[in-house]
Order: sequence, then structure tokens, then C-alpha cells
Amino acid sequence: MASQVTFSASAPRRYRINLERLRHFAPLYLMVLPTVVMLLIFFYYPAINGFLTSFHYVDVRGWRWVGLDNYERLFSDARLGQSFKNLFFLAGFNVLVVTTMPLIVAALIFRVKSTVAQFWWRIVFVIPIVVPAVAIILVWRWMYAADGGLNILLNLIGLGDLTRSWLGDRDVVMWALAFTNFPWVAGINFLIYYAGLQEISSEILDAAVVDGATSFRRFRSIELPLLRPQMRLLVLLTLIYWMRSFELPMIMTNGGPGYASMVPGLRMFYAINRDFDLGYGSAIGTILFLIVLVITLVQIRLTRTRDDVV
Amino acid sequence: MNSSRTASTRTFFTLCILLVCLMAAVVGSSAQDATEFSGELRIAVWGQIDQAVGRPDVTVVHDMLQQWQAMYPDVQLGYDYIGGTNVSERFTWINTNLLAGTLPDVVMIYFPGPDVTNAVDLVYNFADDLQQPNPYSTNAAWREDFPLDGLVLNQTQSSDSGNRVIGFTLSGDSGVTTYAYNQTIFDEVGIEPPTTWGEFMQIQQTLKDAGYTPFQMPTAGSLGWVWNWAEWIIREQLMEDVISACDIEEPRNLLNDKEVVRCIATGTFTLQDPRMAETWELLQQWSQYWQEDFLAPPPDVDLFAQGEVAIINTMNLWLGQIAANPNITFDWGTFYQPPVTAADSEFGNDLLPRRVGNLGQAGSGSVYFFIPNTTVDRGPERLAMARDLIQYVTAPDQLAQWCSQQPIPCYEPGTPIEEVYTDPVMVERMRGFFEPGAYNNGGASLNWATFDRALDAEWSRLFVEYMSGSMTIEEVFAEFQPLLDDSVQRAISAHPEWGADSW
Repeated sequence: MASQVTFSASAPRRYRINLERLRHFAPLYLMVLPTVVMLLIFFYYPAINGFLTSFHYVDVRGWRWVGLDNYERLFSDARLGQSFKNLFFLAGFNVLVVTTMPLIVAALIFRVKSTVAQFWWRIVFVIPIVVPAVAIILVWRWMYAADGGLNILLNLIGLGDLTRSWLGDRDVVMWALAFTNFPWVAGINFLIYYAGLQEISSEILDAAVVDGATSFRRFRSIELPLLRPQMRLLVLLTLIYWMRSFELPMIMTNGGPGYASMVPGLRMFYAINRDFDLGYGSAIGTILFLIVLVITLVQIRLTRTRDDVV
Repeated sequence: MNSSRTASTRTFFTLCILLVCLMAAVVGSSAQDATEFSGELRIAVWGQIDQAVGRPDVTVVHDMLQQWQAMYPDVQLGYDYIGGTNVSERFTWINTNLLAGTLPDVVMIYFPGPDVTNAVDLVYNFADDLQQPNPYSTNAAWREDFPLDGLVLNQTQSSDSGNRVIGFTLSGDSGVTTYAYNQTIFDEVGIEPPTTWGEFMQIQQTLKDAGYTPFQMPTAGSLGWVWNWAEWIIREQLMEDVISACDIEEPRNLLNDKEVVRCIATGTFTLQDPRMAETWELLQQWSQYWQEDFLAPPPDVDLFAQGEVAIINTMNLWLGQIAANPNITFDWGTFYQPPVTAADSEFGNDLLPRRVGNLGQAGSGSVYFFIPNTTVDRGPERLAMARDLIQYVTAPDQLAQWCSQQPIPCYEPGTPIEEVYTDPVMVERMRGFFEPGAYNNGGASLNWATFDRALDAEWSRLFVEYMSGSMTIEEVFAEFQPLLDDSVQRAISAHPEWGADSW
């Protein structure tokens, strides 16, 4: 049966619809259908609806067409620039983090000679995956509180002068958010790098050892270049995540103090969920979607040209 | 002749028996009518009113709904919890579902938001029903069941003069906002509740010197809007003449949305008024006594209950939580925000400040109900059932039941606190809600939150920007003014019935 599912070499006839082909592929399309329907209902419909909503003013009396008013308001919003600045800071910081910390840890564990020790090290870094992200953020919020863990620690080691309201000080609040999750070795990121390292042919690494390459040289000249696909994937995922993510500032600071840690996603959330300002919130969402789309397209383009992968 | 008389008598008795049977049938039919409700009736409730352990002020609504359910065993009364964790989120949930036509048959709300009261095409109008008797009351018309001549109905009138929201009413004149203080700490450091703004600052300095955090003022987190109360109270004391100039419609002492919008649109109220800046400067001075990290979200622990903070904001709806908190073993009381005097500020006066909050006026209540028009579409029986439920819970007997469970019971306006509470401990605990009493018990005054909650959120953020030193008052007001103007214009365009052209 499977052998019959072949593509014709004849290009003009390739996409010709006929009953035989339909009958042939119908079961496959039927199997995909539930997923496609769900995607249409839960992803594409809300997305298109949101896009259309961004051209309306909405309240309980109904919808009113306002053209580009919401976008004009968005681009004249004095605070949105600050929000994007905060967003790019967090996204940039986390790109830096995702290309270093989990990679270093994966490379170090990969070099542990004892397989038992290697196993337990992997467990140590993978187990935190099961802890809900919200719980971790709440723990860090306590750490940053005036009487929280960080200030207690600073007082204990005699650095009491450095204590402060970490989330109430606009000069440090973004750094406080960025340092959440220290040491930044997320289990999934670590596993992706680790799997990439395992795929590297042992012959290449052995040859390098024979040639006298040091461990650092092997990492720099062999492992790191071969891990670029994983790195690119994680950078893309990280950028997309931070473009649309807002739970960290929402839980930690509510975007404050003032607007100091506001990000566009949180502003969108408040516009829709708190202010019932659906048109404006949808306009912010549309802009964020376009940014993510551009990043994704650029990334796909880079991937296609360098790795010849669709 | 005898047989004829006998026949007549028989006929007469037969007719009587038939008549009795007929009357019995009619009465039986009426009784049947009263109990014929059946099927499902769903009500969206404001929070988990059936699971609020230790909160009789909340669960009393659940109790009353269950009483109604017990009268109609064929009805399956079900609860839908309104989504969201704060007022804004819950109203967004309500508005979204109202717009989508997906609300349950009845909706219970704690605040009669303008979104609902003015959704004239989407919410059922009780105006005609209020003229008819309430079957659970002996009054001639349902409207008479509401104390103070139905004041709460007048306050929640829709833009077309309809009544789309029906509420419980506190018949007393206590306000809704005040400050709770730790009496034990006050006694320890030898201070009394203040009577002027200057005294207020002095006692906080004393508390600070004694090592306590004098005041916990949230400016971030879920209660980040609470600072607004203090601001309103000061602002409206200092700008009493502006309030009076804006207050042109009945009921007096309460600015409705139209009056507030008109006041701003005509420039009667302006951010450029130096008393606005003075209000913020007073708050800035006061902030030296707030918790150390007041710009950060407050900790999850209750510092007042732990005895670390001496004074906190509170309101009548929160009193139950303080009273039921097992960690609060110390004596506590309440006092109202004292007036800013001439000695405290160049704009100070001797006027007692107005109260703010949930309408705040005598007769205002806390629990309201409305019926979305989608319930009407579900048929006359469903509407009758929903209306009957609301008539039951707003009948005088049920109002008395509700009042009996509130932290501040219902009482005749003007009654001294000592006559409401005989226990001196309760007198001290509740004093801040009674004194000052009905005087200027306005509230919902120059408050743009009532017609634009988003605007109020921006106001709070800008306040924090000012308090953190990143902006001056002038910069804040300059940034806020266009937002205010834009919001006012949107409100005007949404209410053509206001006739703003003639302003």
C-alpha cells in the first residue's frame, strides 16, 4: 500500500485532481483534518479576528470602524517605545544566555568520563523542567523583595550597603528580571545542545585528540561549529518566546515601577483583559505578530541558504 | 312545593359546592403558578460566594440564593464564577461575555459599572417591573422595597433612564474607605488617631522613630490602585469649589459620569490647577512613612497582621477579612483620613474631606444583579424565573438578612455610632466608617475611573513614575492631559444623549 503512494515524475500531471488520487489520499487528509480544523479554530480564526479588531473601537455597545486610529495611537504612545526597549533588552540578554550557559554546561557534562556521573549530572539539570515556571518566578520575586533572600544574603556577607528594593528601583529592575532563573540552564536548552554533541562523530573528535588538540580547542574548532543548527534553533525560539512573553514582568513587577519594566505583550494583555480596549490591544498584538513573523522569515532564510534545509 | 324547595336547595348546594371547587381550582392553579418554575437557572457570581469560609458577609448571598432554590426544588440553580482576580478583569469577563451573548441567566456584580448600566440594548430593563408588586414583599411596588426612596436605583439609572441593575442597599450612611490602625502599637508609643493632616504626619514620625513601618501604601501589584483613595480625598477637599461647580444634577453630592466629563471638557476641572500639584506633593511628603519598598509589589504576607505595620488602608468590604484573621490578636481601630488644614498647606481649608469608593453615598450598596437580554431570548419562563430570583433576594426580609451579616449593619442615617454598636470595642473598630458621617459622603466624584478604567491605570503608573523620581509633576500632567482629553471625547461620542454640543 505504502509503495503505491508515489509522486509522478511528470510535472504537469503531478497536481492534477482526479477521483483516483482523491480516493488514494483521502484517508491521509482525513487523519490530518482534525488538526487542521483545530488550528483554524484556535489559531487562525483568533489571529484574523484580532487583526480585524485592530481596526475597530469595541465596547459593549458593539464595534465601530476606526480605520488606523488604533495604530496611530500605538505609534504615538510615549510609553510603547520604552516597552519595546525593555523587550529588546530582555530578548537580547536571553539570546546571549541561551547561546552560552546551557551550551557550556552541556559541553562540560559531555566531557565527564564516568557514564554514571554523566547520567546524574543530566538528571540534575533536567529535573527542574517539571517545576512550573510561575513557581520559579514567585520564588525569585521573594528573592528580590525588601526582606527577601538576596538582601538577607547580602547582609549576611557584610554587603548590607548593596541591599535595595530590587523590584522597586527603576535603575535595577530590568537587570533583576534578566537575572531571574540564574544560572539560566533551562533543561530543554541543555538537552538540545547535549543531543547535538552526542551526534558528533567520535572519529572526528578522536582524530583531533590524536592531533594534539586540547579540550578547549576541540570545543572551539569542532563542537561549536557543528552545534550551529542547534544554536540557531534556540536563538529563534528564544526570540519568539520573548517577543510574545510577558508573564515574567507581570508576575514580578506588573510592568513597574511605573513603566520601568513594561513590555508590549503586557501592555496588550492589560488593554484587552483589564481595560476591555480590544481594538488597541489587537493593534499591539498585530505589530508583535509582524515582528515575530519577520524574525522567523529571516531565520528560515538563513537556515535555507546555509544548511539547505527547507 | 316541598320537592321544588328541596330541588332548589339541592341546586343551591350543588352550585355552592361547584363554586367552592372552582375557587379551590383557581387557588390551586395560582399556587401551582407560584411553584411551577423548573429547569436550569445559571447565575454568574462575583467570586466563590459558596466557599468563603469565615466570611458571612459574602456567603449570606449564597444562603439567600439557596433559600430561593429550596422554594423551587424543580429548579437546578447553578453558579458560574466570574473570571478574573480583580474588578477590572471581572468586568472585562462580563463585558466580553455580554457582547458575545454568552452570559448566564443572571449576573451578580459588586460594583454597578457603567458598562453594564448603559448597555441598553444588551441588558434587561426592570423599569416596568419596579412599578409592580414584588411577590415576596407587602409593599405596593417593588421600587418601595429599596430604602431611602430607592436611592440606589436612582444612582444606577441607565443613560435612557431605565433600571438595568438592581442592588442591595446599605441603609446607613457609613463610608467605604478608611484606615485601620494597630491600637496596641498606638498605645505603646502613646499616640491617638489624628484629627488633622499635620497630626497624621506627626504620629507617623513617632511610629517611625519607634522602629515601626508607619503606613503600608500599595502602589503596585493587585492593590496598586489603592493610593488613589487618599489622592481623591485630598484633591476633593482642596478643590471643593470645583466639585460644587461640577455638581449640577440630582442627586447632589455625587458626580455622575456626565458631570465629570462635562467638568473636564469645559475646563472647570483642569490638571493645571495648582491644587492638583499640591495634592501630589502632599502624597510625596507622606511617602517617607510608607513601607520601604512601596514602589515594588507588596509582599505576599500581611505585615499589618504581623504587627510590623501600624496603619493600612481598608474599606467596609475588607473589614470581614481583618475581623476573621486569626493572626490579628491585637486591638485595632479605624479612623478617617483627616483634613488638610491651612497650617498644613497653602491650599488647606477646614472642610471635612469627602469619602470615596463604591458610590460611597448613603444608600449605596455592594451587591447588584442584572439580567442579560440573552435570558429574555431564552423564553418568558426563563426571564420570569430570573426576575423572581432577584425579587426574592431584594425583598425586605432578605435585605434584613443581608444587613445582619455585614461588618457594618444597616441603620437609620444619622444614627450615632454608639447606638449602632453597644460594644466599645466595636465602636473603636468602626469609628472611621461613621465619622464623618453623611456629611459630604459623596464619592465617585472627580473620578475618571468610572468612565475609563484604562485611564485610571495610566494615572497610577504615572504617579509611580513621579514617586520614583523619574518624572516631575509637570511632566506627568503634560503626558496625562492628552490621554484625559481623548478619553473625554470618546465618552462624549459614546453618549449623544448628553447633548455635549450645548456645553
